[in-house]
Amino acid sequence: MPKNMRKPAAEMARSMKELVVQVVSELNPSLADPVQIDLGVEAALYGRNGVLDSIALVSLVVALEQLIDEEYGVTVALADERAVSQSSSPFRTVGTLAAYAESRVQEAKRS
Amino acid sequence: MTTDLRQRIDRIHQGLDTGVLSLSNPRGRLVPITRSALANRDDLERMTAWRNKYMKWFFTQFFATPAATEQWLASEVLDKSARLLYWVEWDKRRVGQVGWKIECDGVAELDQFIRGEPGGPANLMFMAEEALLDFLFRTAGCMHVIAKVLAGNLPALELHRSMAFEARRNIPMKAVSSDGGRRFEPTDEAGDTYAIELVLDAEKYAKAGSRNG
Repeated sequence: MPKNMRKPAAEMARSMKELVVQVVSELNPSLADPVQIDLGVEAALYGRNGVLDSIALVSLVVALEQLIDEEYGVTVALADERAVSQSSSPFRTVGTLAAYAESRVQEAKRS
Repeated sequence: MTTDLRQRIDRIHQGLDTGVLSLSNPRGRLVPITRSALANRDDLERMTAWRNKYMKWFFTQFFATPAATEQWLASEVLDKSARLLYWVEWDKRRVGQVGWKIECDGVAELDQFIRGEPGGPANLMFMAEEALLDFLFRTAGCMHVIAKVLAGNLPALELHRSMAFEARRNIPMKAVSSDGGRRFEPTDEAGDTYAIELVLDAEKYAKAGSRNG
């Protein structure tokens, strides 16, 4: 499906975790130390124990924002002040990022 | 604290004190940028290329040249006894830079964090910041360390937060045209963007657990 086309309403949207795993899988070949996707939600992303450097983090966030737009039809900015205001970083693991992105999508749908 | 620290910065700038900081992984280290860099074309070109690459995350945004970098390095860093920049080295290869400056007595501000090019582990800048904070709190006697980051600079925000920094306030910033580029200045009105000021105090740093703690 072209990137600028959203999924038909009747087609079941994938879970946020699936979207995060997809963008991580696409990023992995470019990483010297790939994200261990087989660890599931515990797979480390960015931080003291993470495997993403700063450039990879930005690439991941941009790709996820695009995929969310395509999949759910909502525009979210994952790298704004609300990310920083979280008590702990939402970018630590696949699970924390999926949970944070999901919360932002729900907010966007309500507004 | 400040007088001793300024004297040491002067000695480091002149190459009379190495001032090298080790990282938790012995393959990495922070090497102060000294006056010798002014005569090193490779160093000036390296710093210039990195700054241009990450221009959007600086408060002053313009297309830098090696000559402009040389002038800035001399006048804003090496001629001042209140500021130190370091190369981030991995296996003795320069892959980034970090820095700090004395904000006021007992307070230092982190700045000029750039991961310039690939090389070393993904968490290299985390190790670099740990080493700087250990130096600033344990050796230099700082009570507070602050950082000001433009909104949207996610890697820097997350880097600082992982060290237990907390966002203290948002500062509205307006864009002002300047010398063929632009710079962001604080404003009392609605800004074009904002900066986030983060702070870490010595007590919290000790509780959070430094790398040697």
